[in-house]
Amino acid sequence: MRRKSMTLVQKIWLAMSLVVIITVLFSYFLLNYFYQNLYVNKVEQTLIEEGRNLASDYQGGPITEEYRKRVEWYNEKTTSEVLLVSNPRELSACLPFQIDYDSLISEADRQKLLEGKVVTKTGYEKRFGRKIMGVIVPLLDEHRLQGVFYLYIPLATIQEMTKEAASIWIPLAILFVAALLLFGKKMADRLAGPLKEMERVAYSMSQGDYEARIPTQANDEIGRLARAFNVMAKAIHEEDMRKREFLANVSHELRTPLSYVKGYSEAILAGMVKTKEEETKYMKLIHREAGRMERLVRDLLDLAQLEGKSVPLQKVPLVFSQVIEDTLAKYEPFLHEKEIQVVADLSPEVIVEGDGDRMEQVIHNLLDNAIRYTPKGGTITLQLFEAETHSCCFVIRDSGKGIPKEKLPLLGQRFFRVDQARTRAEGGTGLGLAIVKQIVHLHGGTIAFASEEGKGTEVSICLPMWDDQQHEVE
Amino acid sequence: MRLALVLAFMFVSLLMGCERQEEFTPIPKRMKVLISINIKDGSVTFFDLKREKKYAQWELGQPIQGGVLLNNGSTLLLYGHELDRAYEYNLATGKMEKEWKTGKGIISALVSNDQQHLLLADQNQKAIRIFHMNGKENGSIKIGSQPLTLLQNSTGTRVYAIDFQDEKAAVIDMEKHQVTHTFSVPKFALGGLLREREQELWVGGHGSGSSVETVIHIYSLPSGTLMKTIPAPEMPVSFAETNEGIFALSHGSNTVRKWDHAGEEKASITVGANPFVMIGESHYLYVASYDSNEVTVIDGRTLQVVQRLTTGKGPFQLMIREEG
Repeated sequence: MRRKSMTLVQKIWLAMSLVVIITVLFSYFLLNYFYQNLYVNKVEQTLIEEGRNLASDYQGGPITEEYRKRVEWYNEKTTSEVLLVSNPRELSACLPFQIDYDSLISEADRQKLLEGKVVTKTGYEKRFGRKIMGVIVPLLDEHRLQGVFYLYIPLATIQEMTKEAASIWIPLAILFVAALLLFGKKMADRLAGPLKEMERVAYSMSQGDYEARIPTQANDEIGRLARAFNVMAKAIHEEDMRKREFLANVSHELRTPLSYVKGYSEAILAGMVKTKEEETKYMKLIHREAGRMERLVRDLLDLAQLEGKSVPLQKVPLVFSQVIEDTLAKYEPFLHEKEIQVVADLSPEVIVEGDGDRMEQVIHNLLDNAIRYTPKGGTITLQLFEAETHSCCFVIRDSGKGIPKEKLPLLGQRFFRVDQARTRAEGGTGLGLAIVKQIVHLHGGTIAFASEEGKGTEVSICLPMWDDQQHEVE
Repeated sequence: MRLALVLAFMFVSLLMGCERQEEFTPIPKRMKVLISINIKDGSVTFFDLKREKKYAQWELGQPIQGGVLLNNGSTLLLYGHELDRAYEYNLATGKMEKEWKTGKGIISALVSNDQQHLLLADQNQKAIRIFHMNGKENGSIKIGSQPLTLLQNSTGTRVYAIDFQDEKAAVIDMEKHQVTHTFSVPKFALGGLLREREQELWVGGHGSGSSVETVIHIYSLPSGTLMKTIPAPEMPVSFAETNEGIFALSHGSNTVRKWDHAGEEKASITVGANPFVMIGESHYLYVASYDSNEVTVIDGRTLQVVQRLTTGKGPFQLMIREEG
C-alpha cells in the first residue's frame, strides 16, 4: 500500500510552522537565560557595590555601637537585607575546635574573607530558611576579621519577576505563533494556487482542450512558470492547428488529381470514349495527374526527411555559381519556349559548404517558381555576390505579377499558394518554397522575400561561406 | 605468581623505606627554641629564641593537632584526632624515632612532672590514657567526652581535666589513677590556669550557641565551687602567669589582658588575628595568631609588641624547649 504523501501546501506549512515554533521556543529559553543571568548578575553587582560602600566607612578597630546603629538605620531604608555580623562565633572564629554550631560563615568563606575577597552565595541558606542571593563583604583590620556585611535578597523576588515577564510573554508568543501560522497557511495556498491551476490545465489539455490558460499576476518563479506553461500551451495549440491544416491540405491536394484519374478512367471504362484520339487525350490527362500526385508525394517525403533530419546532409565545398549554372542549363528549353531572358551576374569566387543535390534542389525550385510566374518574354535576373565577411547572397528576381504584401510572410508555408486556383492548374505542389526554406535553414542560412505587385518578386538567400577556403584566399 | 609477590613486597618495602627515610632539619640540642605547631598546613616551625628568628620548618603534611615534648625536650611527639598513631621525632636528628599506636581520637597530651608517664586525652575512648615513655599503655581513666585542657599541680599528684563538651572538670589522683571528684564548668570551656598558692583554678572558654564567653570563671581548688568571674571579652582561651603578672588571651577580640598577682586588671593590648594560644616565659609572652600565621612577641611588663615571627599556616600550639 502506498503511503499517503503530503501535499506541497502541507509541506510548506509544516516547514513554516516548525521554524516559527522552534524560533519562538528558542527565543523563550534564551530570554529566560539572559534574564536570569543578567538580572542575577546585576543584583549581585549591586549588592557587592552596596556592601563595599558600607565597608568603606569602617575605619578599623572593634565594631562600635554607633556604626552598628547606622547600619541598622540603613537596613531599614534599603530594599536588600543588610546584616552586620561581628560575633566571632558566626564568623567561624572558633573553627579548629569542634563546637557544635552552624556558623553563618563557613571555614572556606572565612579564608576568602581573610584575604579581603567578597563571597557570593546563591541558593538555599539554612539560617534564613529560604533561597537567597547574597554577598558577604569582610571588615578587616589588618589581618583581623572584625566583622562582615551580609547583604542578601530572597531569590523568590527574582523568580517572581521572571514569572511576571513570562505571564506577559507567553500569551503574546501564542498570539504571535497563531498569527504566523495563519499567515503561513495563506502564503502556502497562494504559492501553490498556480501550481494546482497548472495541474488542472495540463489534464484538460490531455483531453484535447488546448484553449485553457492559467491566470497569472505574480512575477515570481511560479508566475513565470505559469507564463511559460501558457506559452507552451499556445505553441501546442498552434502545432495542433498546423497539423490539422496540413492533413486537410494534403487530402485536398490528393483529392483533385484522384478525382481526375477516377473520372477519366471511369469514362474510358464506361465506353464513353468513342475515338482513339479522345482516348489518348484522356490517358494523357490521367498520366498528367498521376505525375502530379507522384511529385506531391515526393515533395512531402522530401519535406518530412528534411524536417525530421532523417537523411543527413553530405556537406562539401561547392562553387555556388557552378551549381546555379548547371541547374540553369537544364531549364534552357523551357526558357526558350517562354522566350524568357535570363540575366545572370554570378561571382565565381563564392564557395559554400553544402550538399550539392540539395543546393541544386533549392535552385531548381526557385527557378521553377520564377519561370512559372514570369509571363512570356519576361526577364529573370540571377545574382550571386559576397555580402559580408563569411557570407554570400543569391538573389533571383522575376518580372511576374508580384505578390500582395500581406501574403509575403506566408511564403514558405506548406501548401500556401498566392493564387490557389491558378497555380494548381500550373502544376506546382505548393511545397517547393517550404522545401527551399528548410534546406536553407539546415545550411545555416536565411531566406527573404520581397515583392512589388505588377513588377515581380525577389527571393534572396544568404548562406555562410566555406571558412577554410576563405582563409586560403586571403 | 611468585615473581609478582616478590615485586609487590619490594615495592611495599621501598615505599616504607622512603617514608622512614623522611628527615627534617635537625634542631641543635644547645638551642632554646620556640616551637609552633601549625594545623592548617600540618607543619612545625622552630624559632631560635636567642637569635630571635626562624630556624627551621618541618612540613609534615599530616593532620596534626598538637604536640608534646618528651624525654626532657629531646623528642617531640605529634598527634591529631584524625591520626591513628602519634609520631615521635628526635629533634637533634630530625628523624622519626618511634610511632605510638594510639588509635584515632587523641586531642591533648601531658607529660607527668617526673617525666615517667605520658597522659593522652582520647575523645573516642572518652578516657585519659596513661602511657610509659617506652610507648606501653599503663592504664586509662574514664572521663568526659572531650578533656581538651589538662593541668598538673607542681608535685605531680593531681591532674585537672577540663572537658570541652560535658560542662565539667575532673580532678584525677595520679597515684591511684582515678577521678577523685568533679565540678561544673561552662560549656565549651577551654584553657585554664592553676594557681596553687591561691588555691584557684581559672577557666576560660568559647561560650555556647551564638552567645560568646565574656568572662573568666575562677573556681576554688579544694571545693570546686565558683568563686568569682572576671570580665575578659571575648572568649578567653589561653592563660599564662609569669613574674610580671597573670595574662589571658581572648581570641574573639584579639586581646591580651594583664592582671597583677592580686587579680587586679592592669592593662590590655590588641594583638594578632584570631590568636588561640599564648605562652609566657620570664619577661615575654608569645601569642600565636591563627588567621595571620604569626607569633607576636610581647614584653610582659609593658605589654608592648617586641617582635613578629612568621609561622606555617594556622599556628595552634606553642611550646618552648630549653637548651639542653
